[in-house]
Amino acid sequence: MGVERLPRYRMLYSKDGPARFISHLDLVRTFERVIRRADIPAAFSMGFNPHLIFSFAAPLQVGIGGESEYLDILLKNEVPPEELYASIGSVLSEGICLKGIWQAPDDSPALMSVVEWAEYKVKVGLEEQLSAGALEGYIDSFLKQPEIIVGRKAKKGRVKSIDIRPGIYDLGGFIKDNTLILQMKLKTGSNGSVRPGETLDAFLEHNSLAVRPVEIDIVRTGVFLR
Amino acid sequence: MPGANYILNRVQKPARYVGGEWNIVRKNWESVSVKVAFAFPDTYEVGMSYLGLQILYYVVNSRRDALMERVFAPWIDMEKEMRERRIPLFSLESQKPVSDFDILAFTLQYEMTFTNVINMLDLAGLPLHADQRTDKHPLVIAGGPCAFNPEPLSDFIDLFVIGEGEEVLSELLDLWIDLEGKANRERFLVEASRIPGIYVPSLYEVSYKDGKIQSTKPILGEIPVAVTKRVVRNFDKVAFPDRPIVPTTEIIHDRIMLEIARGCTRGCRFCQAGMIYRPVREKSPVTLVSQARKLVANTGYGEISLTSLSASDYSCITDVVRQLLDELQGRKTSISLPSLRVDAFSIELAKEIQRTRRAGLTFAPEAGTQRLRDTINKGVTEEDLLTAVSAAFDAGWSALKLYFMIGLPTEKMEDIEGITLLSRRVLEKGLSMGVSPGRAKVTVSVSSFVPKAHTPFQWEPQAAQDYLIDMQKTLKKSLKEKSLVFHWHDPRVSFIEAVVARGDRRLGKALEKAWSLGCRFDGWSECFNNHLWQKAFELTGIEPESYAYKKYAYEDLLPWDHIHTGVSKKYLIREHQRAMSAEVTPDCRAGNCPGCGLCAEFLTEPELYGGRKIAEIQDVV
Repeated sequence: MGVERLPRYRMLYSKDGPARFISHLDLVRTFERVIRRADIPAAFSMGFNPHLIFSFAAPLQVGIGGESEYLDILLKNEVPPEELYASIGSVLSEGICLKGIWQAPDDSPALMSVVEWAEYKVKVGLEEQLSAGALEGYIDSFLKQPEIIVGRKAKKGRVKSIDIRPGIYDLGGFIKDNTLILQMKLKTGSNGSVRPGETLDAFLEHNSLAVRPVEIDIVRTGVFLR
Repeated sequence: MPGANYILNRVQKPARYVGGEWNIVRKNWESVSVKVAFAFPDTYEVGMSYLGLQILYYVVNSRRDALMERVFAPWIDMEKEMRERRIPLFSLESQKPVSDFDILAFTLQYEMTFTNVINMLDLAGLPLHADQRTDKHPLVIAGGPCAFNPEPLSDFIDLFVIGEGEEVLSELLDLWIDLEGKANRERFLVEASRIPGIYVPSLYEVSYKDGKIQSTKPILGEIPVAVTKRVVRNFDKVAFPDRPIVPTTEIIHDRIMLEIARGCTRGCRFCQAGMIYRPVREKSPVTLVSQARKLVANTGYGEISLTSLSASDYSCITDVVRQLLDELQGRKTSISLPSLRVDAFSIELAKEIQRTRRAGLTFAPEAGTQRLRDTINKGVTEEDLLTAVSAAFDAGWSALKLYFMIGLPTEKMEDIEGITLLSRRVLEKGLSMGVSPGRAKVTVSVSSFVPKAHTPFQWEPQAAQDYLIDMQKTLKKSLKEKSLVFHWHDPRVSFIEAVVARGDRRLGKALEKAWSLGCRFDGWSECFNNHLWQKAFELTGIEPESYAYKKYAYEDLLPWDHIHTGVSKKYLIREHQRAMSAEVTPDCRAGNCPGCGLCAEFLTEPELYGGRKIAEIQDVV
């Protein structure tokens, strides 16, 4: 039984509420249980430890919401997507919402390998008043830097410096009720990703902006394929 | 919770605090008469692995007039955030403060969680002491195995549930509703103390003479002199959750837990569970298969664990395992048995179950020599162990685990040496059977004996800490082969455990002091702080040695003597005496009733399936 011949289904879902705090590894486990509860003819891998054959587009960091996330799953046989939608939709954990499911071409490449960038919406409360004009200037000045070096935790507690500037594809923003809302288009995928949190920190630091120690809310609004 | 995202993004494993798992029950607060918060004084991952939580959650939430929500001990980082931002301890289901509930119910699974109990009361904003709480506050109750010696926590807990909570809790809630409990706290406590299995410590007075307990007496005439544990009868029909909560984050035992039996008749003399969960009761194979089917469909788990104190002792285990394998194979659901005996039959069983996945196998010979194994009534010979490990190596296992205890009563140097010799023999067996030296691994785990209430060893002292530390060092040195991995349990933790396990009412102030000095999660090696405990004992004038190292006489009144398990004291004494002369006592299922007195006391008998008969019950020891 060649795995590549099995019908592949692509799910579009959102992740918020309590599900926002599930790590990627736990999300895989959670979906495994969802699929088992849905009692659909899911395909299992061969070998000692049979498991469902999933492929996620791009892992989401703990604490970040996801509005449009993708997941591929292989089934043993074709099932009308409406049926799958109904079965899966009724057994999802709180905070995970199925927005669509359709059959993807058998020969489509793995999701992970085709993700290129992601879009994020970041909300943060500001300490001081900031005008729209000033914000524009801050963004320009931030993006004009030839390189933006951030520290990232590597193994054994070491911190690795990397330049995230090439991975920031776009940055825009506005102010509402003294809350700064930034929209970021960041490089994402198997060849490295730029994180919204580190981008935000670098932006605030570059412009010496003080934030209120209140909620910082980050949502990934979309994952974009090549 | 205000600023939830902000806080949750700053703590480790925020999924511990958000709730929203599959199968949780959220009820309308206005529609119920009594609201219970079930508190587990350890992390989410530990608490959610406890089957009793799922059972009681199901039992209470099955009632229309009651609700139960869960609360766990926040980890150190979360506690800090909560204290800084004045966020009170809250439940997971509704994220409501614990102080809004009518009843706060703790489960006491392990003595080293007692500082967490106190900490959770404090985080909930409740007065720590039962006598300082008023009608405004929830009633604070506690149950579980450690409630069998409730005295160390008696300052903090309004009432204890002794024995199996399924029935008692319902009766308690009925009474609460009848009496409008919160408004009539004192009357409620008196009435509750008449429910069998309920112990209200404030209604008992302890008197001491020369530092010894002279009496523990009820202060009112209508209060029972002793409290006898509750036991579920007709275990096959007992309420069991077929829609248990499925966590979204990984927990310790992350699988379906299907309870196949309760109780164990082996009678190991150190084992408290073996005494307090008597009589042994099994569920019928029909019930188990039907429950398994529902559990798999309702949870989506890919693994089901057959739980009991000794799974291979279940009468129809082979039959049930076969039926479950047939039933679950199509769904790619695996079966596991967490508790196996040291015998070839168990290995056969493990082999059958684990056709694919090879989980580790653990054996518990407990002691290094035959004499000492007979003393503790382990009922296992070296030959049994070697036959079992041969079967395991033969079946393809290359890594095994062995559990031992040191500091057991009557232990001598040769018993310590026996641990090394036996472990080496197990390894050599594997090598001689062709397991490659690179893959062969025997993990030797050594903990320290802790005398526990209601066991034949309750009168015995714990071995001196210096001795235990020396012996651990000796073992570490002698188990130097690369394929022998030595794990040891900190004897300093076992010492505190022994102090609390046999503690009395006077110990409460030391627990409170330890908590106020910062003791938390004392069962976690990264959190345990021996220095703080010593300071707590010093500041409260309590000599911990007098608890851990005390050798009681049979005539002495023990701090837990007013709590009855149904196992007679005469039996415990006889078992203690037999231990001293290394005489074994066979299992009551082996055809001899050892006369523990339980069946006679409860007018019951073991519930076994598959046509196995038990011996005639002796009601006199």
